[in-house]
Amino acid sequence: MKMRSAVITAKMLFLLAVGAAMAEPIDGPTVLKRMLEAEGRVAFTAHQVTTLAKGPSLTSEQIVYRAGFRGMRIEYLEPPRLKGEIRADDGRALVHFVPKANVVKIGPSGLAALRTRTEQAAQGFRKGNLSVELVGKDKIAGRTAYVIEVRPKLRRKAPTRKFWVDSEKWVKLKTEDIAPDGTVASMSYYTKIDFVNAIPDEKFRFEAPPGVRVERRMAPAPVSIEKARELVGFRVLEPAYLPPGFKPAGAVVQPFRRGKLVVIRYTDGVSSFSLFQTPGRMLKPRFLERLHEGPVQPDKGIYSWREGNLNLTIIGQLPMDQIRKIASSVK
Amino acid sequence: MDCKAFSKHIGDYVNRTLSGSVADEAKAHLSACPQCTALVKELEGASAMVRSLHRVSAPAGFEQRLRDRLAACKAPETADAGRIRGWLGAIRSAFAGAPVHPRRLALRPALVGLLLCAAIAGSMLFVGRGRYSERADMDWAYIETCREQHASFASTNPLADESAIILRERARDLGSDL
Repeated sequence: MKMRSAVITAKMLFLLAVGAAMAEPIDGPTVLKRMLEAEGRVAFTAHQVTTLAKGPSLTSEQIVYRAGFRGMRIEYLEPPRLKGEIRADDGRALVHFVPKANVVKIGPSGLAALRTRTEQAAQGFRKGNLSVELVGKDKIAGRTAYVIEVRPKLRRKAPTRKFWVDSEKWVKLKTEDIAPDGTVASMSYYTKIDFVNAIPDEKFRFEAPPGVRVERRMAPAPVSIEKARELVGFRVLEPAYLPPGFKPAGAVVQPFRRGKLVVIRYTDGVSSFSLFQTPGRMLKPRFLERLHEGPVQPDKGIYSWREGNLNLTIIGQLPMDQIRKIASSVK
Repeated sequence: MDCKAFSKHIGDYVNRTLSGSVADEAKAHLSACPQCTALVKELEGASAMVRSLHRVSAPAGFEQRLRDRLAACKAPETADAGRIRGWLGAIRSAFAGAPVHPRRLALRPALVGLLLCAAIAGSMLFVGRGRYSERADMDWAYIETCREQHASFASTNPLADESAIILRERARDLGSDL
């Protein structure tokens, strides 16, 4: 009998040892891969705190309901000016209720785009565009989290993103955006999280209460740059220079005044920028002076200029010298 | 001789270069016109002051060099300057028939011209500013459209902190209301 139980114990130990040897090692890339996979499937409710440290200094508290790519709902608790606002996204449309303005804004679903972007990010990650490092373990909302740092591999002066990823469910529990100078630009984290099997669909829909104004803004679907060229009646320009790691991520053509506005989007997996082009008489030198140099509103991350009859603008999370370099290469 | 006619000869009268019947008529007018008399006294006072100053001799050839330089610098009259000159002439001739004091006569067309120019310039500035303001509003609307578009793209980056992006956009929308 003793012999038999010893054999069983030995077999179990052997199986455990084999299992451990075959299991994927926990390193930075593995954590990121599992985090991206979890985006589309995990359901939970949570209390979230978001803090902006650069630009407007602001802290907000929200209740978050999330069911993968199927639905997301955010209810704002703080600050007082945002209290009562609701963003409900059912994967088809995003409804944003602003009670203080008595308005419901209906726009395109962010989740549908998130699904596409997650797949693109996973591809970019597999191609080795990102540098991912496991930097430690921590506790967030009472749960154990792996801490990883992600940055574009090819750029030295780039923002870093730090994630605290749940060690069991692989959901990101905390995110920090770190500027190239090492300071934290923003962070958001859950103070409480409950993982659930499902959240009813009704939670991700929102019916405008009676008497509330409804504003609809439906964005067109992204297309290829070639398709965008076919859709507009003017020559679409592209930059000859892109910062290392950046690639086009599609284009969008939308009506703008009496013409069309083309947006070409670029990303390196962490940062992104968009190039806008529309013909017409706009962007006079006086306006450009105000936009670029102040004194009213010197805008960082935005650069506008004219090329023939085209008005062009670049907006992105890049240093201004990079944005200007891209702009000067647009032909 | 009336005030207007006297104003044409006041310089010669003060310099005592008037002669003949014109000098007699000027004297007769001054005896009857205290305003022109006061004006003559002012001019004579100024003239006496200038005469009392020490004379300083200019270097040799200075006058010729100055004339040459002025001739070289003289800009051709622009169309606008010609037009303004025409307006002023028209204003001056409009006042030509009115019997007014010579000093006022000299100042009034200039003043009216100046006011007219100021009014035209002011209205042009106002219209221009209005147009600029309208264009600037259009430009800002375009920038806002671009910002919104980029935010919708950036927030769907799976590695982005979308709650921070959304909050930043709301903070921008609400500005100081927050």
